[in-house]
Amino acid sequence: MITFDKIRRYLKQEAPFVFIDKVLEYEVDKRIVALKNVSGGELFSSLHFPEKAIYPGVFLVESVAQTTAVLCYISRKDEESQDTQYLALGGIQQFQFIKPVKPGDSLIIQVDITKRIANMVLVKAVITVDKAVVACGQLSFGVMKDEE
Amino acid sequence: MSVKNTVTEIVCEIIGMQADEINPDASFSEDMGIDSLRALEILAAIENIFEITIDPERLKDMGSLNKVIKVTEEHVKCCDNL
Repeated sequence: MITFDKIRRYLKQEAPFVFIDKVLEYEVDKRIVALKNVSGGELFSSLHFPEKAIYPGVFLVESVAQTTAVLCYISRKDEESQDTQYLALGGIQQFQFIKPVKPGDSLIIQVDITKRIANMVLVKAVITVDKAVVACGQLSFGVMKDEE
Repeated sequence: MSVKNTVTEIVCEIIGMQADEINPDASFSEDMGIDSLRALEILAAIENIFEITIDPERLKDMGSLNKVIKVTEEHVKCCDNL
């Protein structure tokens, strides 16, 4: 398991823009399963939408992206490059939002690497709540270097 | 549907162009500005549709629509011969 404090160190993003709470399991270079508890205390709940809080689909995508970033971080071969690189979302293919997500839901975010070459990676992601699929799709990422 | 037509359809969907807008010998990267991530997405989509596995190292041989078709046909024929 990887705790939230470690996740924060792995990611370039900072809270409150960290969209996973812990990693439940992982296989280096292959797959990872993370958890995110959706809370009514988060800012979105009063804005999206004022009369009915629904977790934005784009935040689900960001959860997948950050989960992928954690997997890539723990799978890295070159430790020295980590401080000068970040994982950039390159594309979203056929991502479906199947059920609305609301405060109180616990998201289980499973990401499987389907293709990896050089500085690019393709993943398939499935997000479930109580074992029901709420979103799924394929995303592509590229490793980018920080510009000086 | 032929391999050529299926591959063309896949490529068109991923790069967002119509088939008659693509020069099949034009370089994805140099002539069409398509980056390597889109190329990897094309490879993955072809694998899914044709149920084949293409070594990602072959990406360098898949730099135009015709080259993608050629590599795909090689792999499809290879599987048919098994």
